Amino acid sequence: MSKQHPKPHVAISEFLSEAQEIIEHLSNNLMQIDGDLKQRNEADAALINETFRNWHTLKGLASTFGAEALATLAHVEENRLDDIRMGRVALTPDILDHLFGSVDTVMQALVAINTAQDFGAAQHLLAPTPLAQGAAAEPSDALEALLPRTLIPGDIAEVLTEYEEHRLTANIEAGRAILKIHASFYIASLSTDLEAITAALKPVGEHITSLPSDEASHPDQMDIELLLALGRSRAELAEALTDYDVRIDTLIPENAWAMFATAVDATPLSEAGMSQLPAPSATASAASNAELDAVPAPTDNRQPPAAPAALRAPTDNGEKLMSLRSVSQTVRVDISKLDRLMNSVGELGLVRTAISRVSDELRVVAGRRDLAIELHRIVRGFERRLADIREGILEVRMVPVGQMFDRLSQIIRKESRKLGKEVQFVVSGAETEVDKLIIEELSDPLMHIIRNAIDHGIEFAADRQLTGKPEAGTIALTAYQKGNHVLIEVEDDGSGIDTERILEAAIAAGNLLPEQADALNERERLNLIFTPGITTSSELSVISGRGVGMDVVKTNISALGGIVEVQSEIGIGTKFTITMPVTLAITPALLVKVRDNIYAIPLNTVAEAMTLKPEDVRQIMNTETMTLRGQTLPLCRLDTYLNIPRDGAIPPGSRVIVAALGQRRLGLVVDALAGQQDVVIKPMGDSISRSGCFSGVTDIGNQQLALVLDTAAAIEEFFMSNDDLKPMMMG
Amino acid sequence: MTDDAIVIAPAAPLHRPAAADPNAVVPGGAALEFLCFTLGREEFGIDLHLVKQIVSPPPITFVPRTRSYFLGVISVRGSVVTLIDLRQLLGLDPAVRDKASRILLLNIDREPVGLMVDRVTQVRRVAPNDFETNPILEENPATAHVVGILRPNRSEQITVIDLRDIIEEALR
Repeated sequence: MSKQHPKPHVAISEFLSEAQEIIEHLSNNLMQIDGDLKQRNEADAALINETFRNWHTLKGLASTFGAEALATLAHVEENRLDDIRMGRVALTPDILDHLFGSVDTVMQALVAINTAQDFGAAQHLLAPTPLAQGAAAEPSDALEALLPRTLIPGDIAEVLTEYEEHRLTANIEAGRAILKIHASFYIASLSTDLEAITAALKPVGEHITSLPSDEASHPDQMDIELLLALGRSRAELAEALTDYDVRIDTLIPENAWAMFATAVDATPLSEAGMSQLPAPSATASAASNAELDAVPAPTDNRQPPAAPAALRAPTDNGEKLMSLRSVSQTVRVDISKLDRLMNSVGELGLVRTAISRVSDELRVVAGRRDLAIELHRIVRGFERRLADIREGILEVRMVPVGQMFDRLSQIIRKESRKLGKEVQFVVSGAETEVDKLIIEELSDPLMHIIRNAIDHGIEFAADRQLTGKPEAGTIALTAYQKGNHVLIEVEDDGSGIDTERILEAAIAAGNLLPEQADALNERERLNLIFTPGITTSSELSVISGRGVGMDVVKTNISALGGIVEVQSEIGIGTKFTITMPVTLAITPALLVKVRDNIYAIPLNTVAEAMTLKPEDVRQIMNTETMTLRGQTLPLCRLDTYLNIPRDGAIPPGSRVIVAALGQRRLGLVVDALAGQQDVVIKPMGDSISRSGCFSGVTDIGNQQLALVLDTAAAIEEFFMSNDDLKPMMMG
Repeated sequence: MTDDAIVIAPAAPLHRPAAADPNAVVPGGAALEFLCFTLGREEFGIDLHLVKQIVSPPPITFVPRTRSYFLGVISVRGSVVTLIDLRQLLGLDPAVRDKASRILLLNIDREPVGLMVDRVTQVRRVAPNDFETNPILEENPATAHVVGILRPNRSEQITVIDLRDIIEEALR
């Protein structure tokens, strides 16, 4: 369960799986380009652009991981591809051969890195190979290069990227018609519809770009103009677009460039006005429609490449490739895709609720009982499968905390060496799984806590010896799951937190009046480290005092629905405990009713719910309380908390939701329970979330939204604003 | 999900480039386009391009402990929109929702925002000449945001307000 040091190969395997994926893409793309060159004597511009991006990504990845030699190689190839895609260099079979060679080199390098588990292992393989022979750029006549651009209407030319413009001029030069395809899309399904139409256009021409149009036929719709360089006949285009309601305008007709060039030859350049051009208009398109249908796709008279780059079957290094493949059996998934899936699952949950309602209604219809029972059975089956899907998606989002622990251990080593302290790092529960998003958000707060521990907690070896402690200090990082929460503990055996000094600092910072100080117990004094303005860095610090106090740690953790607690004893050590929900994506919630409004309370913050008997309510000072299993439970009327209070005693029939976070418990009084539901929490706009009471909203069907109560914030505020409650705070 | 958020077709097409419309050629420069709506008895106009869409109010979820001009949040095709009562922003009585009430979904970057108005009347295209830019007005909270007055005819008067500032302030 516990280990002393991080596995150095974690970073390497991460790197390899990513690099491998890129290289596979790259190799596939090159293969396709090779095929295109042989068949059509021309490569697909989109593919070349993608290949450029592949190298670019590889370069970024390599430099992130410090694989400098690889980054340099990728940089050289990236530049080469940039020249090719911008038309500065022609793509010849020789260059293609060279590109294939580079891919092979990178593959061998990856194998070497994998075998040696060391980035340095590939150094010798990656010496930049000069391009065999003169594929040097033939700088085309600048004027000539500029001219086809004059055909592009100014308003369009203005918005094109350099690359798009290059593709446009290249197509104009090749005599292709440039069409403006005007289509309306419903805003709701814009991206998928646009993707579909782009895919439909792919076989008939090159899609250069999509421009939003300021025309809109309907406020619900958005109009898009797609620029297409037509590679096939207009009949084929019409066929490809049969399913779409579009308007096609000819921006630049076929062979306009040739005609323009002739016109330029005949007249002084200054007079070669646009008027002599075949008018880029709908009339021209009508004429050319008829006439050009007969014209086949642009023909190319160039010779087929003399030495086509061979389809590269893995030969001698095939074996090595296999062994490399076996290291990465993983799929990298963008977490937003999982969010989208989770959203759909949430919506399916709404569908399920709707069906159940129908089934319930059916049950009371005479003579339909059998049908109702059947439907009920189906709903149950549906529900089970839905739960499976949900669990599956959640599982994919989960990653072991060990990855983060490894990163932290490196920081510990570095920081402790810098300070000349000896620190031993003990990890346990590294296999505990937490939502990826939580891990990401948690690593900064954890890093801060650990830096504090090294800086202020652990003493120098000489001091430790004096107190009879082992010379090397220990920082223990422990993770474990408890119900729906994951607990992460950071414990050091250092000097502990001197609460007297914290008190002084708090008074100095104006957070506390001297007369208040006496009323605080030891625990409350300790908790002062989480108040703003009291950075422990005010005491010593080279490392931890970077303008971030423990208050920020606390804020960050609360933002994730978590809570942080501290225990410390002078001379023995300090322990921070962070309690986090396992996942944020979808969470079971209790729906409650308060004054006709429905609110959702995440179930992972609820210990239990019960009916409140008015006779059980006792007033202590200004606070209503009840006794639950021998302990005093402070009560918070949710309507009062939400500023929609009601006078008088708690109405009979009210319910108490016992909210529990860490060691704090609070009874939330609501009017009624309105069921339980798995909810997908969506954020609200910044302005309206400033109330601070809610972590977001969730769809509860019929276009209704329910606010999701931020239980941690409610507990926090309740105890902070009720001074007389402080003794009860720890439950 | 039922789509109760009916989109009403405005009196004139929402977006049309000035050059494409021969009627748009007016003396005195490019035409200005305003979306007009009423708040109480007064008619207001705002820059048409600020409005992305107009919807009938779906169920509104009140958000406690926010400033009073925040009416709450609504769900428009799955996205959560902050709903603001324009009447209160302009210092008028709070909105009373009825059949004619509409929500203007705005084109602003900060966050999805909807404005509740009493009734959407029309889209006006006017020549800059017909747009009185320095009106003398009686003092009220809205005055500061008035950029001009439209007088399409003798009986009508439309107050044009600069919504961007008002909204920026409200969201801050």
